[in-house]
Amino acid sequence: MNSLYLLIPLGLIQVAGAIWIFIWAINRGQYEDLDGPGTEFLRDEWDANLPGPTGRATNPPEGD
Amino acid sequence: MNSVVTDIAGIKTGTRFYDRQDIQRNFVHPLTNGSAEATLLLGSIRCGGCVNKLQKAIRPLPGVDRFDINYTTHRARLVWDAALTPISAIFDAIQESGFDAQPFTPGAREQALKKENRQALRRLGIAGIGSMQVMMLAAGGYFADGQMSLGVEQLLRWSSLLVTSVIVFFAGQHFIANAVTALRGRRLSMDVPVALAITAAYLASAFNTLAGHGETYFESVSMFIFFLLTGRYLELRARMRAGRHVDNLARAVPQMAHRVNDGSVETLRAEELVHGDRVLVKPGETIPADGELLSSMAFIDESMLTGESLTVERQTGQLLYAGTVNGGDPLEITVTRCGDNTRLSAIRQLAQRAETARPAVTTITDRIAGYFVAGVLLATTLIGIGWYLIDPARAFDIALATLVVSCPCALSLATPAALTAATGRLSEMGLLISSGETLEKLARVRQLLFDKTGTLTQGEPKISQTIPLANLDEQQCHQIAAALERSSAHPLAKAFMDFATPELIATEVKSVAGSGISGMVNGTEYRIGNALFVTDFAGLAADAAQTSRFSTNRGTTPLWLARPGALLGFFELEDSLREDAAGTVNQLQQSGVKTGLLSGDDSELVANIAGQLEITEALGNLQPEQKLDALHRWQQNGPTGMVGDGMNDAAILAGADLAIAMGNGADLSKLQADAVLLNNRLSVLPNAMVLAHRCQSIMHQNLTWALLYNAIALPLAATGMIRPWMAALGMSASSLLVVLNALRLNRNRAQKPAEVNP
Amino acid sequence: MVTETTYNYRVVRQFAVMTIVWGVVSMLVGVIIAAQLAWPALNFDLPWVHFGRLRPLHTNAAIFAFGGCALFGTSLYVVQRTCQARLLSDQLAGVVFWGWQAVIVLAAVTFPLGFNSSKEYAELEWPIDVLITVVWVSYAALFFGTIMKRKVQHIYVANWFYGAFILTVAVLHLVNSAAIPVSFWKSYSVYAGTTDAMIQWWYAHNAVGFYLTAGFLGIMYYFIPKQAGRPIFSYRLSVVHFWALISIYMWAGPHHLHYTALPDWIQSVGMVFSLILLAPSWGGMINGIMTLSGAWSKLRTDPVLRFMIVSLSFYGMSTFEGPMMSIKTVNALSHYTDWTVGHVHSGALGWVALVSMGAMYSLIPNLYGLKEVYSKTLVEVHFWIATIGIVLYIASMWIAGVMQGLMWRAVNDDGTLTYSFIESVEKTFPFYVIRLAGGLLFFIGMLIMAWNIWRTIASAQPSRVQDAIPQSA
Repeated sequence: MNSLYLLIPLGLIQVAGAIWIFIWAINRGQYEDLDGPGTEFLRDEWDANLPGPTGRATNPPEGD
Repeated sequence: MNSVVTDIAGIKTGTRFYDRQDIQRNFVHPLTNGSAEATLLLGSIRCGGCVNKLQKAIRPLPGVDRFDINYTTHRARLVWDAALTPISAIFDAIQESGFDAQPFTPGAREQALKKENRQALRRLGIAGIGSMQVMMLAAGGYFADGQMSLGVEQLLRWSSLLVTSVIVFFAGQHFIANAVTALRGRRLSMDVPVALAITAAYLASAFNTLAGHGETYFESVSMFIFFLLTGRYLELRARMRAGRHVDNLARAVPQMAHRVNDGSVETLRAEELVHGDRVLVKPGETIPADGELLSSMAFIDESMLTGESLTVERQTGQLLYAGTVNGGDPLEITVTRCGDNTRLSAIRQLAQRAETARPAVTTITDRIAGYFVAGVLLATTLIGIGWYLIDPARAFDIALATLVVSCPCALSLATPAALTAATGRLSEMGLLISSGETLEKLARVRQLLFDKTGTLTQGEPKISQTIPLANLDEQQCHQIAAALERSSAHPLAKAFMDFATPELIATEVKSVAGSGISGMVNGTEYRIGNALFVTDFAGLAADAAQTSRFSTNRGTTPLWLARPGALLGFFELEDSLREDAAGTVNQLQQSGVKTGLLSGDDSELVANIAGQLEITEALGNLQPEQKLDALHRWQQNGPTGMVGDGMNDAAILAGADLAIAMGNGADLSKLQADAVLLNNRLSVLPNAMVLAHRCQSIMHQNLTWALLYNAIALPLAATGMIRPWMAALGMSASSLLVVLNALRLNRNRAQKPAEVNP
Repeated sequence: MVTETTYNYRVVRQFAVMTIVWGVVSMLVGVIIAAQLAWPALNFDLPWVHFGRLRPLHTNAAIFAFGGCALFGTSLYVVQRTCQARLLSDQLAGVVFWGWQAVIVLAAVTFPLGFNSSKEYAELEWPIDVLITVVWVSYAALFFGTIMKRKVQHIYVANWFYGAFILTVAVLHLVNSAAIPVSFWKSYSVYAGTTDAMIQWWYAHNAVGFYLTAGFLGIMYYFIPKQAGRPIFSYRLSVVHFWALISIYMWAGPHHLHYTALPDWIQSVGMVFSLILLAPSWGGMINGIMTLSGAWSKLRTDPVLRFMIVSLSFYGMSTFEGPMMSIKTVNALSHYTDWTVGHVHSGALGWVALVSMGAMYSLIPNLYGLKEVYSKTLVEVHFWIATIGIVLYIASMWIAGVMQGLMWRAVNDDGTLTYSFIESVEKTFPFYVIRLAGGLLFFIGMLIMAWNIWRTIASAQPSRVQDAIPQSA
């Protein structure tokens, strides 16, 4: 099955890449806190600080 | 081989550092008898055997009273006499045994755990992603059935070798390193057969791949490593979770405090506060020390200490605790206890003490595991030799399968995992365990005795009625009573707190347990207490007629104030039952636990309460020795536990098979209790007992399963019925099962106590 | 260094609008070819509107035009907001948008003209493949470049899914479309025979896995929590299921080639791993649906949320059906029948389309400074029409498919086939009509959506657009 001579090495390279990215993520603390990010991003409320009729939106949403 | 703790400053370069007083202040607590207690965080602890080894090395050192290591938290509790052995020598000895140690501070523990978590995750990820690929490549081989071209077959084999090598060197290496450590310490840990299996299978497969033909076991090796690492990782997370609550306690005390000096406010380090300082706590700030409230009213969030998230209201003079949060307006307190003497500190110390203890059952299983491993290795060798003589082609395969399938990992994980999960869950429920045997005791005890005041009742008595009997009016009675009760730690004293005036001071105050208090106020001797205590003092015969006028059958406590020759006043004190008292008693009885009530208070009152709660046996008017007698009587029928507030019943708590102290008791640091009910919720008790039972049964299930599995699997493997990959799957699934079974304890849903009409 | 204060919503708006436009177009073509299958006379004997040439137009428009614009638009929106950083470059954004529209238009022109590489879902000829590569590289640079500029340390999980989608599709495209051009509009694949088939289905199934699954899961992981106002059921699970998906997906492809010349053992590998894939797929579904745990009542009041949650149910259904169909014995019945078409559309209409619609209903008002769409009632109507349409579609195709499979394999006692092929075609006719009805309903729903969105945009409030980047450190 000749296609495998291409596909398997290709797959291995992709796996190497996946593992590399996985380790990068762990080293950078991406998976330290798996409870916070689920809720944090909800805080950028759409309707907070709707600016008045005077021109473009400038109020930054609350929170950091 | 990387240790958790290699980058700690000072360890390698000089342990003398730790002999310094200023350094020791952070992690050494002097004890009353001249020795001191220190908590150390250990590194390179890889299994139960390491713990035994290290304990054996340190305990014989001169002056070392205790050296207890907890495998779950990797913490050691050291009690030793520094005059005989400086702590630096102990650090040295630990190092010489092949381990690392550092003083335990909460920050250190967090850091260490974080690093361990990352390493474990990295290994897990490599093993997981990698083994999926190897399995796919191997699946091709299974289905090939001779149809595969030679080129493709070689491609699959070499690819498998490549990926498996990565897995073995970056993830599997963990087991091999552990095994080497164990062997160097002349110990047979469960990692030894694992490492042996991995190495043997990998090398054989690599050799066969290079040779171009022959059996390969790449998928077995990869899967094996992955599943084992998963089990270990789950256990690590359970450990992290169990310790989280206590870690939070440690972080609760704020760094800074605001001291009020004659009108000006000074900000200083909380550590520098002393007894008597006047401290300002702003809204939202954490209170830095224990103290009496000076402001008229305050709303406090005590969730850090009790887990209760509703704010409580406190009045002037009431105690506020370090670590709680001011949920209202700015308030001021007078510091009564600070630094290590705060309640928060006491709780932490209790918890730390518990964490360093190891229950007997774990020690036993560790020893058994050691013998087991020896047996497995022996069996494998014999079986391998045997098959080599019968059919050499299959010998390696079968020996490998035998080795893999009978690794006692499940056995070693059976108990620690369950204990960790249970401890963590209990602490979440509000029951802080302070001894290693608590869980076992909780499961064994079928009889529970309760103290009354402060345990079944709120411990906040209020004066519901005052009747002056002689020439003093109500207010004067109150003031004298307050003067007498001022320094009393008895719960009933609280009822008089509001009436204290600075003009009336009581001297020569003597408190008679179970009876009352006597003292001098403005030259006159007074007594306050129960009927018996005051009647002869007042010069009256123990005449029921006099006192029975005020008999109280409504569940209240009567107190009389008298001076020589006259009864001055009668107080009726009402201490309401805890809301959950009835429900708790009900639940306990329904689950087959006999309940009893022992109290120094009036029998009639006690009987009344017992009736309300439907407690079967209740005894009142007991002196402390009589309480102890009652306890012994109960113990003749079986293990008996005692729930008290730890103040007037210290002796009986010590004598009980299981001692639980209420969290509102005065001096937690002096408690000898097995557990402290931090949130004062009696309803936790039945649930805790259920949890302890479940923990025991889960441990038994695990042990039974582990042994049964090996008993069945070993003969199957030995007779050649199991291929190595099946063995790998089976064995790792078995240990995973044990860990997951233990984690069921985390999902223990607390039952609601039966509804009771107040 | 200019401090950026706003997000780039312009490119998001462009893509969002085109999602609707191409949705209408692709579904219209779908309706036409469905009609042609029922009434071949509708081919009008004209090559440019012949079924053979319109079918790839439909598939490409649905997947790459409609689905593609949805993915581009939402990903560029989500990455900015979750990283709190403006897109790397507005020029690059322009290249991505206009380049992609060019690809689509070229497809719309070249397919009716008959230029076709004959590789399914990769029918575009080589010059357009080159254009796709250019656009894709720009897209990758734009997306990952924005992540690198992020102010938020943690990379939200949706971005992981988008990222995996972008990288994998790039590899798939390059490998599968490798061809030797012989003239401007004609090339030959560098692969041949079964090798080409294997690579083709490795490409196509991984495209399903990473384009239609991972990419749209990225949409799901952002828009469902946002719309529901609740965090994802288990963030931990989302990370675990992401990595599980990455590790396992690569080998499911052979299940498209059961009982073909492909070696048996590769087919078996494909079957086994398609079955294993069920687990991580369902992990994602459970995670999304359980986000509403404790707040199911929101489904009654919010039709937009309903689109999203129901899409997950269809996702679960398809990811169950798929593994089932990859079992060889099942496949022996289903292969080449309309059951496959039914399966594709339960995934395409039920999952991909519904989640895109839900996301657009949620996203577009925000892009134009409004709280919600012009008419919530019309969203309701759209939902019901679409769902009924889907049910009609897949039910008819299931029945047709099983019937065809049974008819084709029926043998008489003497070993001859019981039915001729044309007999099965005749029997299929009513189901083609029902399918057409279902598709038509779905198309009408899309028209309703287009109108609703048009009215929404028409009442835009530019001053109220929340595109300010939080500036706190």
